Parts: sequence; C-alpha cells; structure tokens
Amino acid sequence: MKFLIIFLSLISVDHSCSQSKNNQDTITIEYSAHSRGTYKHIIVNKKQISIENKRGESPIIKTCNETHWDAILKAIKPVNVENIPNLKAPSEKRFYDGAAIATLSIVYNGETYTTPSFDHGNPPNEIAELVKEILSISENIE
Amino acid sequence: MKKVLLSLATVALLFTACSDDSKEILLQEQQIDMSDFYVYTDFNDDLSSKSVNSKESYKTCYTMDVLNKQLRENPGLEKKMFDIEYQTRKFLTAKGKPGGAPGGGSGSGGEEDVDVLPIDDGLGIIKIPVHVNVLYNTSAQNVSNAQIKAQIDVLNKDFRKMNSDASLLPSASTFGNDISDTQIEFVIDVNNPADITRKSTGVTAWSTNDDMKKSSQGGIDPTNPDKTLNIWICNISGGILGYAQFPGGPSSTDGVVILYSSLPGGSAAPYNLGRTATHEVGHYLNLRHIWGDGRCKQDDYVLDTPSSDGANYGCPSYPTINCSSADMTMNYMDYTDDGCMYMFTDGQRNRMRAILANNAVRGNLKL
Repeated sequence: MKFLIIFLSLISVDHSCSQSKNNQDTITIEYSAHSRGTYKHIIVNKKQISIENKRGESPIIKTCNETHWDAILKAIKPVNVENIPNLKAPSEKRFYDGAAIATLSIVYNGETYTTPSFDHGNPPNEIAELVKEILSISENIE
Repeated sequence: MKKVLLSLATVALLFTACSDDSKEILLQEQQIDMSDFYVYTDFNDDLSSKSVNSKESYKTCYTMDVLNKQLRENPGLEKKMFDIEYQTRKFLTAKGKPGGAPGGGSGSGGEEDVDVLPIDDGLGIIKIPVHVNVLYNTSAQNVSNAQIKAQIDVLNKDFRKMNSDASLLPSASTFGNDISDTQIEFVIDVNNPADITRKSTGVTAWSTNDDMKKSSQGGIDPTNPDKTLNIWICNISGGILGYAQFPGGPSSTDGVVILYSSLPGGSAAPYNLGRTATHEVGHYLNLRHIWGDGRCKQDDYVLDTPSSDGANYGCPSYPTINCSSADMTMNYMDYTDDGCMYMFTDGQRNRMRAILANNAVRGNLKL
C-alpha cells in the first residue's frame, strides 16, 4: 500500500504546488484531430509548439512562451494523467463523419498516456480545459 | 469477434441443414450474440466540427449538464439502435451462408481469407428514390443538375461494381472474392423539379448540427424521408466533407449531407470524385467505418473486412498492415482519397440489404 502511494505520487502531475523544473521539462502534450477532410496535429512542450494543419506538410514551429506554458500547466494540474487511457468519449459523431477523430497524448516522465478517440470539439470533461487551452494557443500564436 | 460470429453462423447452417424450423426459431431468438455491440449517440452539439476560435463557445458547451439534457431528450435511441442491430444479425443468420475458409476466420489472423457469399434475399435489384436539397450562398454552391446527375451516376456505378477503378485491386490481395455488386441503385430525374429543392441562403457554411435539414433554421426540410433518400448539398464548416445519419434516427433529419465541392469535378481534390456520397450512403444503409471506430478488437460487424485499429488516409500502398493483417484501404468505408477507394464487400452488401428488407427499418425505401 505504501508502495502504491509513493508510486502514485511520483507519477501524478498534481502531487505538489511547486512542480520541480525537472518534471516540467519532461512533459509533452500532443493533440490530433483527423478526418477525411481535416488534419490537425499539435505538439506542445515547455520550449516550443509545433502545429501541422495539413497532412504531409512540414509543421509550423513557434516558441512556447511562459504565459502559454503556465496556462497549460494550470490546465493539466487537475488531470489524472495515468487515467486518461480510460476516459470515455461523451459523444460519437465521428462514427458517421459528423466530427473529426481526436486523441490527446501526454508524455510524462518518459511514459506516454493516450486517450481513446473522441469527437474533435467535444472532449471528455476531464481533459476539456486542457484541450481548450492547447487549441486556443495553437490558434492564437501566429 | 469474427470467430464468434462465424461460429454462430456455422451453428445456424447446421440447424438449417437439419431443416427443423422450431430449432431455427429457437436459435434466432436465443443465440444472436450482441455482446460486442456499441451504440452511437447523437448529442446534437453544434460545436463538434467547428474550428476553435472562441473560448466563450467552449465554456457554454463542455458541461455535463448539456450532455445529460441531450441524453434525457433522446432516451429511446440506444434501445432502438440495439434492436436494429439485433434484427440485422437475425436476418443475416437466417439467410447467410458464409462460404470459403472452412473452419472460420481467426479474427485478427492475417493469413486466413474469410469469404462471405452474397445472400439471396429475393429482393433482386433494389431501387432507392433520391431527393436532392441544394443550399447555396454562392453560385459555385448552386451545383448544376448535370453535376447532381454525375453524382448519382457515381453512386450507381459504385454500388453496382460498375466503377472502372475496381480493376485497381491488387492481384496480390485476398480481396478479389470480396468485392461486391450490392444490387442497390439510386433513382432521380434531375429534370423533374419535384426531385430537387434549391434554396438561396445567407449561411456561408453549415455545421454538423443538422440545421441544413430544418426550414425553421433556414435549411430545407426533407422530402418523404421514410420513402426517399434525401441528400443535402451545401457548404460545411470545419473541413467536414459530409456526414450521415444511421438507421433509427429521427425521420425529420434522415439522410446524408455532402459538401458541394465533393461532387464529381468539384474543387475539393482529392475528394472530388463523388466518393464522399458513396461513403455517407454506406453509413445511411447501416455500415460502420471499416476499422470499427476503435482498436483491433472493435469490429465493423462485417466478416469479410479485415480488422484494423484506425483509419487510413491518402492513397496507401498494398499491403498496409494493421492488427497483423492487410487493411482493405480501398474500401469505401475507409478514409482514403476518392481515387483510392473502389469497393464494398459481400458482407457489407448483405448488411446494407438487411436494413432494406421488408419490415426492416429502411424497408420502405424501395421504389
């Protein structure tokens, strides 16, 4: 039991208010939304944000400034990262092409955690703030 | 899943061979395996395909309150979808005679070729009447009668295996015995004003919330949706090429929507050969995406399509291996470019015809 607690506190992102610099540096978040006519692939870490809006085109790479990164850290804090593979999509419009197929991945301490697919535009509630933040930064960073 | 279904079908065959009617009925009622079934839920959120510019719109929509409200508004849908799937399987179990590959498929095994034979449902060539609704904000969106005819011609060629690109099927693949003539045809007289409704609109791009299907929202109400396939042609926001409604949804929004520029000769290359309509009509006739919208084990409920864990895009070369078998990237229900999809399978044919059988949900569509 003790082991489990130690283990959980190690991999949980929100285990302290003052995240060590080390942990922050290892976080990478990836969001993708694909459909026949849509392609969006965003990768954010502390240093940069990479945005791809068309399949096969080289990504636009911008510096991720402190304001952006702080906003992302704030949004990721309430998220139980190791549980995101168990999240359930609240809607299934992608089954009949009414929405692009989205997934969110979080790389944390060398481990990659990926959600099941969900509708682009309607993520599971637990990651809604984080997805909103990533999309908002990618739209406004020009 | 394939294994379960196939063994179910084999059992059915055994009973049919004994020609013991009471046993067969017993089987149909007791042994239709529904354990893998999953339902779609239409939440009507108008955000799903919009690009994300406004923080405000997100705040108002990402709440469980909204979700719960939508679930409450549509309580019967899940049950209805389940019943439709049950009836489809019952129909196929009764009529189906899976052939080839004695011993059955291995689910994800790449080496075995699962073949399904076309069922004989006695319905012959099924003709489905079509009504087209055009909503236009620009002259390009006001597609011509000739373009509409070209689109319906593509549907007919694709569903009757008359498409010339069917010859592209790699000879090295095991899909040669799967490619199917569905014997389903689509009927419209583009010179008859009663078959096409046109409406000028101030809406520059429609969302996937079905507003284009509602005159109260500035759209066009469907014409005889229980007896006619309605196709809305308009501009759609968010890079969406088209979307469908599965069988069992509300009659008032029944049909498919396609992007005006996805019509044959349109500007949405590489999606401008009319295959978006073929794909959407596949959904309308109860087909799922070929990868089952999930990981390897999640199935499209069709035996002769290989399992996969995701969509394919662009124009993949053969073989593209996923879930340890070659994907059928040339299937209309994948996400490849128009020029690189050119087949339905016999299993998909049977599934579509099951939904068109007399007494089935779309049984009244037949001309």
